[in-house]
Amino acid sequence: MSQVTLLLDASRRGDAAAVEQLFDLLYNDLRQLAHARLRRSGQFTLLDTTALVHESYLRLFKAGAIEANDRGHFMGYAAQVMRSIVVDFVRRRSADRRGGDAIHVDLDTAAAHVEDPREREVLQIHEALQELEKIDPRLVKVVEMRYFAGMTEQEVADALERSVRSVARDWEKARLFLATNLTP
Amino acid sequence: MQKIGPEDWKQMFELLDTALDLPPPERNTWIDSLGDDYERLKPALRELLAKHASRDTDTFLRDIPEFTSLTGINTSPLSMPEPGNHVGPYRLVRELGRGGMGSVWLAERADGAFKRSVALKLPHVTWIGGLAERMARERDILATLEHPNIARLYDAGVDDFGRPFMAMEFVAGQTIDNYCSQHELTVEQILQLILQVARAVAHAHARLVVHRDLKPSNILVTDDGSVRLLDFGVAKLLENQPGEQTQFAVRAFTPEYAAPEQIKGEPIGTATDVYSLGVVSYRLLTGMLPYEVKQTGVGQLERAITEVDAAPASSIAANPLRGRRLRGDIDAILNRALKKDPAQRYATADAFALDIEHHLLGRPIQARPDSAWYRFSKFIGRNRIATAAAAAVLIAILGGASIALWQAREAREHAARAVIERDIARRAAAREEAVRMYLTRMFRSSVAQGGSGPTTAKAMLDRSAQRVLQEYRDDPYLAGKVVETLADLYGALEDVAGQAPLLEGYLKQAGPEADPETVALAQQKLAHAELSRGNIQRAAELLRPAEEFWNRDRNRFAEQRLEGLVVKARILRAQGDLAGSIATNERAIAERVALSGENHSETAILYNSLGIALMNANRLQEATAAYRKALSIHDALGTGEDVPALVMRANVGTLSYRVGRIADAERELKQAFEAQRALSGDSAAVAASMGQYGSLQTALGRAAQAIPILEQATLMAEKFTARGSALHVQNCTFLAEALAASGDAQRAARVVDATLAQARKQFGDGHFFTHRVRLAQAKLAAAQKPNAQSLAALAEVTTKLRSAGPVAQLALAQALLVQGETLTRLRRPSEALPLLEEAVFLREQVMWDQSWELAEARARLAEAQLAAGHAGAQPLLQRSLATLESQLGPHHPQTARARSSLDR
Repeated sequence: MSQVTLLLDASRRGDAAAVEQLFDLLYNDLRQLAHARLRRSGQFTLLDTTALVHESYLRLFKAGAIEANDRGHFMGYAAQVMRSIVVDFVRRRSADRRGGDAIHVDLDTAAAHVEDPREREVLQIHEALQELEKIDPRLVKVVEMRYFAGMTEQEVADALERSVRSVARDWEKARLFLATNLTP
Repeated sequence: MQKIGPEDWKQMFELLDTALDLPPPERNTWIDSLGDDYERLKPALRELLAKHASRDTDTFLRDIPEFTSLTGINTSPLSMPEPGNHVGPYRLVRELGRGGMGSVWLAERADGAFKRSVALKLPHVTWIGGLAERMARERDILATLEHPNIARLYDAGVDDFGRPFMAMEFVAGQTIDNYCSQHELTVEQILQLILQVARAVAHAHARLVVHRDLKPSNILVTDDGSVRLLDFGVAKLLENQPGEQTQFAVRAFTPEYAAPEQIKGEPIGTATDVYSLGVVSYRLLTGMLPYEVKQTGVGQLERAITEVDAAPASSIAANPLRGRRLRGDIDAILNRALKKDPAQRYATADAFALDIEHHLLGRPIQARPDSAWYRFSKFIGRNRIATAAAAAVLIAILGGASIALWQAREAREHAARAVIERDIARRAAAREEAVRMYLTRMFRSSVAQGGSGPTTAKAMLDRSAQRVLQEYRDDPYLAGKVVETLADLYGALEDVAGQAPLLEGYLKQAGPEADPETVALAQQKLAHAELSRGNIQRAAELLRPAEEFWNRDRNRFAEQRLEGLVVKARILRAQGDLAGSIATNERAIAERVALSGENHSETAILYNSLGIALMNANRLQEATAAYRKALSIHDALGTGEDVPALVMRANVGTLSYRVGRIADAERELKQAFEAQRALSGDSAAVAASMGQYGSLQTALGRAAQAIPILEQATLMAEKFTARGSALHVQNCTFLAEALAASGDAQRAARVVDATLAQARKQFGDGHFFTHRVRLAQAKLAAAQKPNAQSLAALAEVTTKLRSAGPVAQLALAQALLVQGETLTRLRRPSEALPLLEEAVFLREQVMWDQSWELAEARARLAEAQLAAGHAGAQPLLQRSLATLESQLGPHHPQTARARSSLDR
């Protein structure tokens, strides 16, 4: 079996070390892709998370590291990793703006320190998702795929092996939760 | 919109499922038809549906914002850490090790606040679905693991970039296997080391923490031969990923030391650690693993671990002499620890440790088959000389038949007694077993349920507490035992909110057949919990019957009675009976010292409690002595730099401040709050010491420096206690005083007015805390406008403080002082004189001779005497000036003021 498929299998069985390796692998891969994209298109480019996730999959698929029927599971994990990359990125930028030195900032209040409203929204969503995780982790998965990885409802439904209708319903509920919990 | 909590959201999501299926026009009718249970949620539900219908959420979250630069990703913090990098407050020095999960670095604090090297653990991946959150939760549990043989967790957190870190005690030593082979230790010496390891693991087991990765590389031995267990709980934390609860991660542990259930992915528990302890011991004693490891791969090893029984250690030892030494007890102990079936092993590391200890002391061990011959041979071995003598006497008198008859009768009686004892022992064992089984079962089922987050000791406890009373309805005796254990676990987690309902439920259910000892214990524990929640009256009512029960047999219940005395002393203190509290503490100290010696952690707690009571009674010198006593015990026990000791150091600093030893106070307070901050971050305790420190700065004439410190201390107090808490009110008052001293009377008045309103709301109009704020307000008004109106306000406060007893002694002195001072300014010195004399007297009672506050009071008195034309005021003023000059310096406003009075 190919490497990523093996890790996906083990992750599904609940193997924590496999989950970790998978994240490590995806994080590095997605980061490198973003990096390469930046070099290609010069200083100003858009962080197109959707394209990055798809490109990462294609690369691994062509290299024979993942099997075709694992695409859905792969996307699920990739979305979670994308969330991590985006949040790291925003935090890093806001830290740079504050001088970049290491100040002990409480995670709960990190969002309050970010000046750019769009970036603040990302952090607020991230923090609200941590709350939502305790209430209904399934909704969090849907938000990660839709928002952080830009997947369509159909793609999310495929990845989670659920109906489009139930994914759409979860997305609505999650949006209402987030809209209520985000301070404008 | 009204605030909806997590539980409400669960319900809300269910309601939304139905509502969103309905056509919009029908939704309102449906909501109206919902039962009363949903009444509370209806308005929020309507609002959510309206929000859904309106267009404003349509674009919401559709796209992630577009970022126009990738600098963040370019220099991602995930790139490998390097020496000199900063992580939170730490600077990396050099890498100590690297594993699959992350790396460990030698690091030191970058802010120089606290000179200490730490081992910093950094996971490779910044966060995985709330890893940081989980680390924080885990930290709280790890913080309860305090054991000399467990590497301590100093700090954990998340730095600016969201990277979680854990700072552990840095241990300079070598791994236990290297240590054993290098020092060519004897079996006894190795067993002593194993005993240290097992005790450390047992400490964790008692707190429901399972190590899961015991192996020689996780066990270090320092040069002085003491063991430190590393990575406690970290392994568990890092493996505790979603979906992992039902199956153990195969790659996460070292297979050589893993238990069969780990290989097979079955539920793990404390017995899993016992198995690993067995393998480690086997390895250290024989130099070999319990299985033959061929080079054919992991699969073979895994089969060996799950299927092949280990050969007796004695048959493996290279040296026949050692083999003989291991035969018997050691073989049996290792055999029991290495059983394939967890249920057949020692249940916990404690039982394992106990057997090793028994073996070392020559007592019978549990693991042996319980043959009469075995026990007898142990008895002979232990009492070789005594037995020989008894045998000699026996032979000498074996002549007569009467002796034989006597012997026979003795034997019969002995047999009868043995039967009774065996029954008692059996019942006790059954009870212990039942408690253990219950907890293990609950632990496993909470591990298996998983799903909604990681299993913590807290989650497991809550689930157990919910069920225990129901499950043991028919067996009140056993119910009591389980409740006792659970209540202790809550105690270890300092979780009053969880503990109180459990005990409440037990006491409600306990009928006449319940064990009176357990009932008394539950009452006592609940009294303590109620006291923590502020229900003083209820606490006192609960403690009384418990106290009566312990007094029935003081020797037997010495320990329980002492615990009761501690609670009683606190209740008395809370009720304002300071003399009673002090006496109770003193009695408890005497009994505790008699029971467990001076250098005992409980003795330190008692001295601390005594110190607080003495401080409240304004017996400050004695209070300082009590704190110093407690601190010397902490130092002797090696816990002098831990948070409880640092809090005491801060209290000593506060006392130094109050008695007027300002140089000591400044040093002590600064050290205490900085060390506390370095060790555990901001907290209520830090806010308290910072407040005192800031107030001291005001007194020293540095109001401008005091203000930012006090602003910070005020915010911190609000964050960690509450708006309007005693601490918050105190720090606000300090802030107002600093503002007044800096000349910002307007802002000072605003702060003090707001604080007074809060204090009145929180403590009531007649409370001492409220009076103290009122005094600050009156003082401020008198300084601004010394007139009849402000004098009247001061007189009113003085009357109130006078009726508040010894706790208000210093505040009263201040009120009298300001009143006298104002009268002198208004040219009414003869009225001022008696007030100022009393102020001097009150301060003399409490403060040391060179206190600047005492000198201040004397200077004001001398000034009044001068104004009234009394003779003999000059020398008093001169003496006061000298003290003020030496304590506060020649340029301090107080000094300048006294000097100008003298020159006039």
